[in-house]
Amino acid sequence: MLTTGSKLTLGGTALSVLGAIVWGITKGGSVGYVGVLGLTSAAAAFLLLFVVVTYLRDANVPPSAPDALTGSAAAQPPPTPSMWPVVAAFGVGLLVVGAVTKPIVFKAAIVVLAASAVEWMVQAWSERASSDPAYNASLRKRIIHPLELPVLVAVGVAVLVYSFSRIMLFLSKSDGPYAFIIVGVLIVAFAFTFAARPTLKKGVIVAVCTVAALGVVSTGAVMAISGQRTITKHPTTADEDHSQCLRDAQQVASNPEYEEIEHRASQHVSAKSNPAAKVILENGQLHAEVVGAQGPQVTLTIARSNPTNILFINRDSGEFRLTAYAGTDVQTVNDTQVKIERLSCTTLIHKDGEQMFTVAFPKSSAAATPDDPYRLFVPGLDGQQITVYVP
Amino acid sequence: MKTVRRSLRRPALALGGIAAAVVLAGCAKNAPQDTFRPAGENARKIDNLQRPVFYTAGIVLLIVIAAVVFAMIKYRDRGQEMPEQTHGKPWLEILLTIIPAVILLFVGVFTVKTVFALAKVDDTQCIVNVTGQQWWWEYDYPAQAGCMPGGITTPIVTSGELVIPDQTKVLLHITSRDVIHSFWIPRLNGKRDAVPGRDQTLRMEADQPGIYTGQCTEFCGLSHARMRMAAVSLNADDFGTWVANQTKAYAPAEKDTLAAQGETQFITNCSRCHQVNGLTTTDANGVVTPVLANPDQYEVSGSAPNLTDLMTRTTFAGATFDLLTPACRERLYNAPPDQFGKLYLQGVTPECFNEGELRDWLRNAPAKKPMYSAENEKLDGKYRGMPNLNLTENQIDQLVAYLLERK
Repeated sequence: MLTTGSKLTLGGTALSVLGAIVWGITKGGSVGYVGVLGLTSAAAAFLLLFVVVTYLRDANVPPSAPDALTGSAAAQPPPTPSMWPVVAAFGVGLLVVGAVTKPIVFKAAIVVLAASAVEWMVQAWSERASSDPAYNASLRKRIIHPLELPVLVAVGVAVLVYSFSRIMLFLSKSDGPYAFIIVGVLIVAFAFTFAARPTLKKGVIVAVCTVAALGVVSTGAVMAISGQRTITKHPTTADEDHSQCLRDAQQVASNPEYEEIEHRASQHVSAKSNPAAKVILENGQLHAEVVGAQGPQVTLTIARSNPTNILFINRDSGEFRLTAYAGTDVQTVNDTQVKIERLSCTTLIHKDGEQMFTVAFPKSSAAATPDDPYRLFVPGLDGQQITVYVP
Repeated sequence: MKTVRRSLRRPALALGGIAAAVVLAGCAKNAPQDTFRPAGENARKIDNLQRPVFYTAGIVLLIVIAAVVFAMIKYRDRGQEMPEQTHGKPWLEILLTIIPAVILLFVGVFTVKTVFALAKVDDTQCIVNVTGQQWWWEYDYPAQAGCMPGGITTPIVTSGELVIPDQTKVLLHITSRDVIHSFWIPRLNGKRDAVPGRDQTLRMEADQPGIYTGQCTEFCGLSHARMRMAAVSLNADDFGTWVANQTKAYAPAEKDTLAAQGETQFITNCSRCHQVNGLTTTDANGVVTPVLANPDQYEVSGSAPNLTDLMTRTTFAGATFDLLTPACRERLYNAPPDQFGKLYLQGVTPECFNEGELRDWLRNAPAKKPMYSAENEKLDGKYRGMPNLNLTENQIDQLVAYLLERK
């Protein structure tokens, strides 16, 4: 006769084999291989357990044994009420919802199911460890607390951080620093009070911290629902596919409404902290500033084949864009070889605006002619250019 | 008890021997990358900070060790009764907090002061762009009014050796073409990371002519240990001569010589990646066109060393291998400051030419300096360093003859 334990392990074996077959058929490549391997291993493990528990008959004491009245399964106290079956059921529901909505919900359901499975198993096991419920409870704590507490703390911290981030995203850029200052001052004030009054009741401290945490979480939830402030998105070629750099004043005149899209503008803050040069348009004059170089520069040396960050600053009225000319490239168009100019440019920059511009010159200046050097220029401003030398 | 002491004697002696070896290892006389021998203003600023900190930390260490050893010996367990246990001694605790705080404050003030002093760039007299890539450094000198009287009018590009005028505040603009590297000439200044897309500055000034070696200090791949560097300091006159040498017109190899055959070999095999400024080809119709390297098509980093004046340098392949014979190298490295420039500007003479090293390199570069996990392995169709070109000995003879004239 099959015991309860052997039924469970036999079911696990069958399920794993079935899973391996389905996985092997539906998934190909390394994912399929690894999945089949894992499920087959699980089937083998379940099978081994099945053999063991069947042989041992679930470690049940035979009725004829001397300690049958105390040692048999029937003599054990019934399990205490547990919340984990409810949590597991919630996880299954979440799994179904996640399967038809978002992958993140599905993944969260897997986590909930795994957590409830571990908790449920440890609780069930600990309740059968001895006939002393107090000892069983302490045994459960000893095993599960090293796992439970760090996870709970991590989840708590994550919730707090996420809530705080929602608050900061809701507040405007100018209000954000004030919020930081107020929160910082409150933390310091409470910490100082707690430190100065060691006789303060523990309950008061716990209450204050709990109220603060709940305040952050609830405010964060409200602000998350209200939505974050409008964050201006920098246009890139990913947004527009009609980008084209204008070459000269004639093209500018014929495209008055043309909005330029930057090709290579870096959005990274780290890049903006160390540009190779600042190129400034001021009083109709274009010049460069290089750290260490005395005065305005009209030439720049830029290493070949190396994306280099330049900060373009427009201090003039009107909108201008900085354009880089890096020679020509031969391309085949309709079976005909044509020379294409390597041009890249910033967006139109308004007065006192600035933009990081990433330029790359793949060829040495030896490939350029003296009357058509590599350069940075502003279309529409004739004669204003920074000559670029590429070693 | 005696037996126990005897059994401890050997391990104690071995431990003492190891400790002595570690201490004595710091006493090398010929240590070219010794941070405790500054040879320039910025390195001296660092040295002036690190020495007091080092001595203070050493004294604190000795006091702590002495106190621990004293307590271990005097209060060791002899079976005596447990002494009276007390809790807290406010005046001692306050004292032990204040003393380290004062020491840290003292160190902090001078550290911040030194950091700001090292970051000073507004009195720069010369600018050099430094670009790192796997596994060598490129130095280019923009056209500028500084560096020497009359300034540099034609930009210069070189590699392996950073040549600077002595007693001049040189500002390096450091970046990288591929991964993060770190530029460090210990006797002239601290380190500065070379990060792709970022322009980082580092100031250098050498007191007198000489050669100061360094090492990439950020792990950057297979040949990181072979990514070396050297700063060569020349006096103003010698630096002017060096600049003139670097910017002079290309001298083609004499016709019907081994070097002329080498020039053809260079155009065929090397010029895809390596630029020699002024090198031209003439087609059947007599049309002369410049030979332009396209390392961006063949190299992961998009660059390869410019070989226009290879033989004005003393090393090659990331300053790893010597172009000079050991005797000539020793003579140059140990030359007194007033004779150093003259010796360096001679470049590689036929009698000092370390031909074997260059021949080995041309024969199979990756075997000499590991660059790929598999032979001539490519990444996106490009090499990470110089591949094995499978040149014949005849081709190598011709190339060596040609390259020997590149100065």
